[in-house]
Amino acid sequence: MRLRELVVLLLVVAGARHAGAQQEHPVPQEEVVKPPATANTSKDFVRFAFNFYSQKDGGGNPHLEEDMVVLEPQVLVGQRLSDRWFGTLKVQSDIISAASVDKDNRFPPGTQSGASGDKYFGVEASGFYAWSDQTTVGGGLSLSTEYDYTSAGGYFRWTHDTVSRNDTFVVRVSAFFDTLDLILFDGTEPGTDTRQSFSLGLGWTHVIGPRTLGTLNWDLTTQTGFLSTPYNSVVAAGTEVQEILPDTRLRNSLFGRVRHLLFDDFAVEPGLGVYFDDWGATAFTTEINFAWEVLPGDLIIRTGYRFHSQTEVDDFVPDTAASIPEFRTQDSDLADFTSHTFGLKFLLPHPKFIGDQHEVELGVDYTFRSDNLDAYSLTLGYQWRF
Amino acid sequence: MRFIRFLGIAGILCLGACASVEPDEKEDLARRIMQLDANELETSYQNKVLFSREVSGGKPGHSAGGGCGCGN
Repeated sequence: MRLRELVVLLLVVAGARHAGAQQEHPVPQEEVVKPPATANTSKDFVRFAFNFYSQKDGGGNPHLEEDMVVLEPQVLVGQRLSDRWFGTLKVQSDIISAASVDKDNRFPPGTQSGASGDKYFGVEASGFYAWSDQTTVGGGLSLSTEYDYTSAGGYFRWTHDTVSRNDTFVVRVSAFFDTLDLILFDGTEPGTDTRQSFSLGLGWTHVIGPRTLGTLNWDLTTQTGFLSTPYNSVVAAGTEVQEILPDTRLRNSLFGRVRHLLFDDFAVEPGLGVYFDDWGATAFTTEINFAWEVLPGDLIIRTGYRFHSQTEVDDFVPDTAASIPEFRTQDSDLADFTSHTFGLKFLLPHPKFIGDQHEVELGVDYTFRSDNLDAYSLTLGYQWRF
Repeated sequence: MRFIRFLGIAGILCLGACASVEPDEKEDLARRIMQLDANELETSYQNKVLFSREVSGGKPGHSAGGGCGCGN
């Protein structure tokens, strides 16, 4: 864009914002209806969810069996600790079974263990403090462990509403310090290594109109350390070698959504996102979600469609390559592909058969991927407010 | 690229030009079907699935890396 166009654009926006600001005035807090940018935390609650994920290997990496099943139970407890403090505790676990064995019999029978698996256990404790009527600060600490991976992390979040409650700004910084036990594709174990990840996230939610909200998120992540997946290998030029990727990565993502109440009982939310990183990958995502209040207060149906397209990282090596470069990967998730995801969820916000303070939800997602690594997931959720 | 630029400019102009919405006009925005995010557990699960399966590293508002051996 030319500089002159940019200046004109900024002047127009500034003028319009100034005109809008002239109409704003401070309002007593009891009159304010806050836009629902986040889940309601006005009551104590406990929420359970059970997720089932299944991935079918219909393609992907021709040298690796990529079938996978994950069971993930989750628990989240929210407790008001005082007039200004609110705390949450999240516990979740993954029970993973995956084939992860060679698909083309490169290894003699009996030298690989066959189907493999892993277990993940993570806990995150957070606290939020209402600094003022407009500002909330908070943060949390997390710990997780897997068979060959441990992680310690933390985050800080600052949320600020403008006086008019028409804009909410969020700044979030987070860090993860991870340790990997290196177990390579051929069973060798050369020791341990570390991975550090630091993120900055900026969010802006804006009330566009009495029936319309918009939100924009920008996330910047920088990573250093061992960024490959230890057990991944690369098969090319008549040999099989360990995956090796650069030890730094800078990742950018920008995502915008607008939610509009189209009819009295029907909301629509289109969204658009772009991503790029210095490994040479770019991605484009667009989605549209719908929420239909079928029975007011009793049944909400949410459905959605998501399209995702990504390019492969620069170091992706086809198995037809004549030589093995210094950096190389054949990870299907770092390859070029497109995907289509369809989702459907039934939400009972106040089911009469249990009681008004309970909530039940049931959801299903199905993803079609152009490399035939299709997947589906089922979710069953329950919340008790007290 | 031109289309994305057009959408960006149109969006900024629209947001900038919007008049302030008064508190008594926000009743519809507080309704359940107008919540931008479902709930923390669902968002956390979806973030993990996307983080482990796509290059772009998860849902907006989450760290794009670290914390789990399921992705890069």
